[in-house]
Amino acid sequence: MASMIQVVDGAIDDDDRRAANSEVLEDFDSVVRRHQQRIYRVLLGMVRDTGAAENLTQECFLKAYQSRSSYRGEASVSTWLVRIAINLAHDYHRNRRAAFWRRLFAGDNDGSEFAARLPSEAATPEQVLVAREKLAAVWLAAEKLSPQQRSVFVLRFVEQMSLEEIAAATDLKLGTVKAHLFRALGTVRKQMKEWQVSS
Amino acid sequence: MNSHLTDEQLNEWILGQAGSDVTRHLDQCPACRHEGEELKQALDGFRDSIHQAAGDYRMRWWAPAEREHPAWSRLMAQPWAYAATVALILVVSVVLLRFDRRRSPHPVAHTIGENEILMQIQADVSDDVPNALAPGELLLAAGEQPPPAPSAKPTRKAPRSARR
Repeated sequence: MASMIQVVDGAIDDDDRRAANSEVLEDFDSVVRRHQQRIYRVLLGMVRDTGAAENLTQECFLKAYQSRSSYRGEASVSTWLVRIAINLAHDYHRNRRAAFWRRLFAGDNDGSEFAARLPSEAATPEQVLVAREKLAAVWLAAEKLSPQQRSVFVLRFVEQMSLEEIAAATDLKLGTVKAHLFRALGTVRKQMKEWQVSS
Repeated sequence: MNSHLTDEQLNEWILGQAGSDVTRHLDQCPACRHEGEELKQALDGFRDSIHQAAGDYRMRWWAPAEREHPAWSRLMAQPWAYAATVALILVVSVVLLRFDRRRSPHPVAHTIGENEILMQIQADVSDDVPNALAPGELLLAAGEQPPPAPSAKPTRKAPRSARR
């Protein structure tokens, strides 16, 4: 009997949570205000192009707005939005035409554009240079990752999401998320070693 | 401490899932600690670079209603829009018709000129080709007056049958 009550209580909790999550969407403007930076960061990490990231961020919120009636509130609004953003980024990479224009206009982006923004907290110019080169190595490694590995990598190391949250956002199993992260870290480590050898 | 940490153990440490044995090893082994710290610093730099590039990012605009329903479709949703469209079409049609009438004298004159030439050609042909008058002869035989010849050519030759 006690377990039955617990189950009923759990169901009520779930319903309440879903209702609360759905209510959040009623004021969509505040949803945009609250989540736009996170979505933009995720997309920037995935596509490495500020213009494309801006367009995809707008696309993401538009898609979310259009499909808000189908949102069941099972995941948090943030997770739901991140999932839409990741799918958009995957579509962007799949789109050959986009890839063509990206190559044509963006050139080979090794992340130095972002590395240059880092504050020069290091004492000497040499240390700043080393820090920037290390960063460029990470960006280069991120470029070599598969779209799924990259999305998991960005969610973990840019947004610092837990493995469970990443699994929910990417529709992957926890073990798969972990495997992707291990492979991504292996690629980053390999890239850094190559950079150390070359420098 | 016989050997260094494996890549997998370092990964677990980076992900915050390492056991106490790994943490203890890192405390005691400068080489592994250096490798782990270097990787962690690079990853932190990656995070910071994106956070700084994003800065205080704000979307340039947010008006989903405009994206879903463009301005023209919202305008056409108004009840008076159809009446206005019909009125506009009527006004444009009237203006075009009036404009067409003003330009009409030249084409009409042109048509009249063409008709006169055609009549003249017909008269010439009827002079030269006897068969062309066959319907006229039939009419005369039936006691009816044939239609008057076109007046385009005043000095008209007599039909060949009459000359005979």
